[in-house]
Amino acid sequence: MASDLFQIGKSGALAARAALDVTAQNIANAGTAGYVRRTVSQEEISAPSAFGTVSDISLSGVRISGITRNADLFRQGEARRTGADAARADAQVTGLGQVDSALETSNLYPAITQFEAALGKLAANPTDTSLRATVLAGAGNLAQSFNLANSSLNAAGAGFTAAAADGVQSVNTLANSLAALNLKISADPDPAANRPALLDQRDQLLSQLSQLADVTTTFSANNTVSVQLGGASGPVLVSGGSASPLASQVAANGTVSFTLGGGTVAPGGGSLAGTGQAAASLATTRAGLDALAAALAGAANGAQASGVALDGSPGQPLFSGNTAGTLALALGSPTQLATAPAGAGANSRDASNLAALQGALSTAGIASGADALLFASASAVQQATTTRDALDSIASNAKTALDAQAGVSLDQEAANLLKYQQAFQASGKVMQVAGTMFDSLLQIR
Amino acid sequence: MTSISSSTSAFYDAAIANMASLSAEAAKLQSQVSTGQRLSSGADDPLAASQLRALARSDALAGADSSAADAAKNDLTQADDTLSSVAGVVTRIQQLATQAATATLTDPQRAAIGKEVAALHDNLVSLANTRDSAGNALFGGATSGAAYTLDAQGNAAYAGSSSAGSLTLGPGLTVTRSLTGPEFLNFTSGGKAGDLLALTKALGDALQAPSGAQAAAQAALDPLNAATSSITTAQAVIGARLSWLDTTATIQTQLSQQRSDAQGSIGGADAATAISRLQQTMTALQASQASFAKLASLNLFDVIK
Repeated sequence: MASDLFQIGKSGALAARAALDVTAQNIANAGTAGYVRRTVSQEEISAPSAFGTVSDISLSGVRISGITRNADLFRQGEARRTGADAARADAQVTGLGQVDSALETSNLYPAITQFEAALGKLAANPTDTSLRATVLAGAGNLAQSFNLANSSLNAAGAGFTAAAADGVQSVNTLANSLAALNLKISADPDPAANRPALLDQRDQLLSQLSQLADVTTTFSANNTVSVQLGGASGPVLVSGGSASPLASQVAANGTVSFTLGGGTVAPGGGSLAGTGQAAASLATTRAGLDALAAALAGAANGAQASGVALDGSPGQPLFSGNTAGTLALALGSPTQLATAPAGAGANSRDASNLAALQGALSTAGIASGADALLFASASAVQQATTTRDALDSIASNAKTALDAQAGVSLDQEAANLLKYQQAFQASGKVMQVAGTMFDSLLQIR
Repeated sequence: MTSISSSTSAFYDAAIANMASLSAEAAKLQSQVSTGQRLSSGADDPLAASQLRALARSDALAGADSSAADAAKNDLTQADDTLSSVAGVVTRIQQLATQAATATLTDPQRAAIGKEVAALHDNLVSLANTRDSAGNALFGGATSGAAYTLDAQGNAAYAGSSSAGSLTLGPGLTVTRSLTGPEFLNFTSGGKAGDLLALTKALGDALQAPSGAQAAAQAALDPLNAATSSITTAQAVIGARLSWLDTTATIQTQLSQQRSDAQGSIGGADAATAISRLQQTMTALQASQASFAKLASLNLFDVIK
């Protein structure tokens, strides 16, 4: 069989046309999220020489051997892994920032200082009613600062709970989509045509999933994926066409835990893990705040009990409640402050019980405890921010590396456009030459 | 974030991320320049924030100390003035006693002097019962009532507490705010303890008595001298306390100065550094914007015609 110049030209034109289509598709999707650049691979068609016609040339042109999806599994995996870490750190920083700001904006520390300063001023003239009123107002403000810090922490905690519930819902939606996609991929009637788009979708879903929780992926030969949550030995979220439901539980102290298909799972990355960490540190902070409120109430009420009020009656508790949320001023009148020791008469100027109250506050470490609480919370934010910045940079690098490899470069496509346009024109010329040659043969007389 | 990108979206993403981080840095520096504070939240520098809290606390507590110092200064100044008046009264009683002790006076004249001494006794009692600015007995220690009470015969008895209260002027610094009555009215003369009010009362009574007035006046002279020296001693004590108040005020001013210096160095933004770093960041931001615009306009499609 001899070569056919016209056929060769036609196959070249068709191949160039297909390559131009792919190039156009790449250009059109240059900004599409999750789109992986396609390239056309071509191969030569040539029949082997027939027996006995050794020197016979048998060339048949070119054909499209396939459309390659330029995905790099390693880079995609890296982008997912580092993205999960960055999302976790980001959610943690946001949460810790809310906890820190709840403490700082409550003005807890200044309120303690003002209360103590008011006590100090009262020592100069313990029977002065206006100075006593200042102390009582200071105590009231302090109790309200505790209440405010507590309610801000409650609001932050409610936010964490909602974020966890929202994240869980998103994970379940994505897992169900992945399971459905797995079925579609495995039962695809026309893999060659649909596969790149389906795989784009699959990778896009995995990437979204990795923002919520750390996923371990296993790809099977038919391109379906099974997903485990919380590390390589974690429970299975998606396997083939089925997805296990993820659920979140909120404990009484506000900590968030997760179960997958009934068994516990601890996400190590993604925003769910970050929210869980923030909720745990909120629980610690609240326990510290409650302990501080209890210490304050204990010290103040203890000192009150060992003294007498301005009218000589035994001192009554200064605060009621012993948690940050329930702490309240219990004394109604400034004269009820027990500045004088037990046994002193009415209107006593003996301030030794006031000194005992100041000493008890200092011994209980109210101011230093509040400072420690603020310091711990602020340094947690600082450390988490440092970690977040590092992880962000790593994740950004991984994403850029993935984009650089899998994304569309318009310059590259412009060059391809020119190249395949020229190839198309050249193949057309070949067909024209074939026609001219045929005409020449016909004109032989 | 520097990576050689070969895809268009990677180029845009990287450029956006770079410029966003420069903008964030510039915004942070701008807020430092405009507020003068290096920290916008405790998380910027937890240790410095904790130090600043401690300094602000010391400032607030020093406010209580300075009001205590003011109260002590008022009380001590008033006590000083009152003691001067007491000393003046005692001098007058000494003159009268000396007069009454001379043999040339008649008993009716001594009785007249006795009346004046009795009136001066009343003055002394009311001086000893002076109230401070808050209405409390200045020389009664921690008592809520009067320092001295009079019985039916007009004898004064001390009703206050055993010591005058002390006020805290700062960490480890205290001052006794006043004196108790016995601290300047009691004296020892000829090995016997006495009390100016009792002495004056007895002298007034004796001078008005029908007999023994001259001898009583003579006998009162030595105790009166002892009483004067007791008052002088008390004035010296008050003077020492007032000067201690001045000393602690100086200490407090220095401490406050140190605190405000520390606040500036820990929490204040160094304007020169912040402004030049802001300038540097802005320059980098402008340069990256310009280079981004140039690179983004480099498009092969524009060249291929």
